[in-house]
Amino acid sequence: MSPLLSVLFALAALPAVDGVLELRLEGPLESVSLDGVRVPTRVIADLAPAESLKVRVPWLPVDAGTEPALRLIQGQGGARVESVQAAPRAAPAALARRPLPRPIQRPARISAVGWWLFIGGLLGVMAARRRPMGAAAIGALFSVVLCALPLTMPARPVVAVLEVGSFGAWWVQVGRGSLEPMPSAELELETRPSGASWEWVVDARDPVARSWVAQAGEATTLVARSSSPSEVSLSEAQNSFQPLEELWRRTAAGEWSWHGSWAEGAPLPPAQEGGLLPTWLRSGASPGAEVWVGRLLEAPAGAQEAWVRVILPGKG
Amino acid sequence: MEIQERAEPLEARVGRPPWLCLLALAASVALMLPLDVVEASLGEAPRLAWCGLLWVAALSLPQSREGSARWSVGLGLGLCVLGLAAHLDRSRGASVEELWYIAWPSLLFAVLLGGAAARARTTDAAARHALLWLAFVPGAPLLSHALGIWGGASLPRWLEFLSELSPLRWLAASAVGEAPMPWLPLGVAVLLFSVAATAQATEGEGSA
Repeated sequence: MSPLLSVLFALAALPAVDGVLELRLEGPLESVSLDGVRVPTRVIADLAPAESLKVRVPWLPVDAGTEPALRLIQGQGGARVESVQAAPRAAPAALARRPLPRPIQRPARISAVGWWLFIGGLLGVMAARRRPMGAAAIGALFSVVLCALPLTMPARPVVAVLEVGSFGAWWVQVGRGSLEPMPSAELELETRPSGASWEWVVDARDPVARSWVAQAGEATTLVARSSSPSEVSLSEAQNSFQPLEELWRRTAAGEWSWHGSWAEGAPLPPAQEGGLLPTWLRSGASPGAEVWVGRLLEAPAGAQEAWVRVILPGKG
Repeated sequence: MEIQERAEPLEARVGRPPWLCLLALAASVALMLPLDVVEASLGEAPRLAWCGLLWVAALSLPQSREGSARWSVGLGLGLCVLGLAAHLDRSRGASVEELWYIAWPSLLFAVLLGGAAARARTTDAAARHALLWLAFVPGAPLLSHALGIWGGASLPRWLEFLSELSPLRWLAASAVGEAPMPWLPLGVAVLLFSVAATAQATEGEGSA
């Protein structure tokens, strides 16, 4: 941990509005933090001497009266702003009124390896029952192994829903503790509870992959909204969007039906029995509106579960 | 034969864990199955806390002189269950810090209270241990729950304090994320263990 190296670059020329900075970093430099921002922003670079790198960083200045600055905290290299680009488009108010996506409440399952280890532990303890302290030791050993067993599924999946309505198509991603928003996402994420602290971490160590990760406490829910260029067209005649694993439809009369999977380009399959729709997807549409809700076969990057929800306003 | 049992209570002839531990095992496994009824009842509560409560209750229960002495076998089974519950809770999104906060008191409760029950069973302090256990472990929290929640009565401060001493109450509170640091329940566990260990040591010297 090197001390604060006090290289402060006043950026008085910068307009104090939200945007994306293009920074030129020069090594040796491990990380850079931005000063005078509403959301703590850290760039991890790990640059060796004479190495140089250009990186895009979210820029959320506190207010027009605050003089923004860069603060080098680890390393003796340099950093300068090359340009400032406009922030991505802000999400429409109508989008924020729709209920946030939540992971499907599937009961968590213990992996097969976990169950086998557990059974092995029980058998080991029983086999050592004539040496009581040995039995306890075997139980402790298996307990430690079970605790350390790697998880096969992410503990808190990020859920994304493509919201389609009169405002166009927008992705809404929701994750707890950590979230990697899509490239066109708004720079300032919403948090639940509102006002919870979080930070931007820009990982510039891989020059090919851009990595902006929003990080917060484990109890904080992060919400990112990003405009989507996708053309979503669902009708009885054809699925002109993507293959859907499951599809629900609500008619203007308010009747829900489940249609199972729906292949791209195919007509709407007939309604079937069953198919429980998650509550958060059921709400959010005004009476008389036609609603299409589908679960995507493949989630986009940055999400483990993805949905599409089309709400078409009622006629008249 | 009696002298032998007193001197080596863990080496008694009983070759299987107490039946109560097998019941606790079945109940714990049921809590960890992906059943809708379990999810609806327990929700997001850490299964580690509920399994810990079951096992601490089972292991700490006062035993008769003729009962099984294989408490450490029960402890071994309980540790396997707690390991599996912690694995499940991690896969549900619980943090390691959150689980550790429940795990270390659970382990100490299981070792101290289970050890106390096993030691006390062959001594003349068995009745004293049973009374202390009844008062401090299940009694006070059950009484305060019955009076406060079911009866709607306002509880005297001393009864609230007594119920906070219970390790079972602490585990139940940790299941809903409202447990303070467990120093008081640990004190009770140490007290029960001391009573049993002192009696065993005294009687061991006497019989020698």
